[in-house]
Amino acid sequence: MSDNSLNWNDWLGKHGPQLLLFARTQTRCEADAEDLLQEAVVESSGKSEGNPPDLPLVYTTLRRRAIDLARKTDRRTAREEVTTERSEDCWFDDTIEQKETAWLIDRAIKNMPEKFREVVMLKIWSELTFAQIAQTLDIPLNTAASRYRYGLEILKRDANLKES
Amino acid sequence: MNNEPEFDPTQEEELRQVKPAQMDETLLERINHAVKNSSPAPQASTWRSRRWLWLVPFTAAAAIVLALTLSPQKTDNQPDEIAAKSSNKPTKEEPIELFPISRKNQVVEAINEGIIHIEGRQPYRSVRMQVVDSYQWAQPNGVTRVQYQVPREERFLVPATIY
Repeated sequence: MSDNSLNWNDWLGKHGPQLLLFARTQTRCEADAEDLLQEAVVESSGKSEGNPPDLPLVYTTLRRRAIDLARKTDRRTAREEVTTERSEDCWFDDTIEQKETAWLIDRAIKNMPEKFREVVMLKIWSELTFAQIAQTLDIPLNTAASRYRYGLEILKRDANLKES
Repeated sequence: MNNEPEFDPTQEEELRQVKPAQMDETLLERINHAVKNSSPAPQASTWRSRRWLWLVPFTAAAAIVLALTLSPQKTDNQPDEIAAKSSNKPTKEEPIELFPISRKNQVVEAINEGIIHIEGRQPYRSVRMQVVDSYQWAQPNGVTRVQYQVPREERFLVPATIY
């Protein structure tokens, strides 16, 4: 196996779950999320000459492709409205002792309006900066920060998280 | 971890404790395979192929000089021949007449998206169909042929009965 393939295995193992999580928030079904993730990773790797790309680039590509997909299939409105119709699969690792918390967060995240959810996802689990989030979602930096704050409040309320 | 301001450190830490679900092995393999198949050639070979580029202008110049040296001398009647030949060509392009020869709708994939519930109505099974519509036109003599393919996706809601 070449060094490049080892890099890719490590990179996908490390960032794949976070990318898939974001892809899931941008699509309606698991199959679309997986296809979208594959296309975005392949496109981004092409721009990085076959090497593992910068994460913000992959997130931006993922989002752009999700919008294209939604436009193509004329489902954008539906995509934004059916947050409660999403699959019953838990998006988080529920095999550990925090199973109950994982399920609570999963339910709260899925019921949260998309504009808050995507910012929370990118900040908490993808660990992007507000500047990178603003660039990825094509919104002003202050908007990203305020959406994040509202998102946290919704999560605290709906997932019964501890008060600081 | 980044140095961004945290709004609610306790809550943020608690959220970070919950990790995203791991990727399915099949998907991991699929993406790995797709990336490897789409990767461009390694940098070294690109450089190796580029280092011969400086030969291109010299080769082109040499070819022009050779062509001028070896070409037969121009005779006086050549312009007339060229004029005669060019006068045989039509002055404007004639329109091409095409006739439809085939039309096909091919179902590429049918995805069962499961049962959906709409308030106040019976349950439905949602089926997503991916179809490619192909059309072909051709000249009667078969010289020109135009093929047109349009992919499309349709979602069908089939009434379902749940026992």
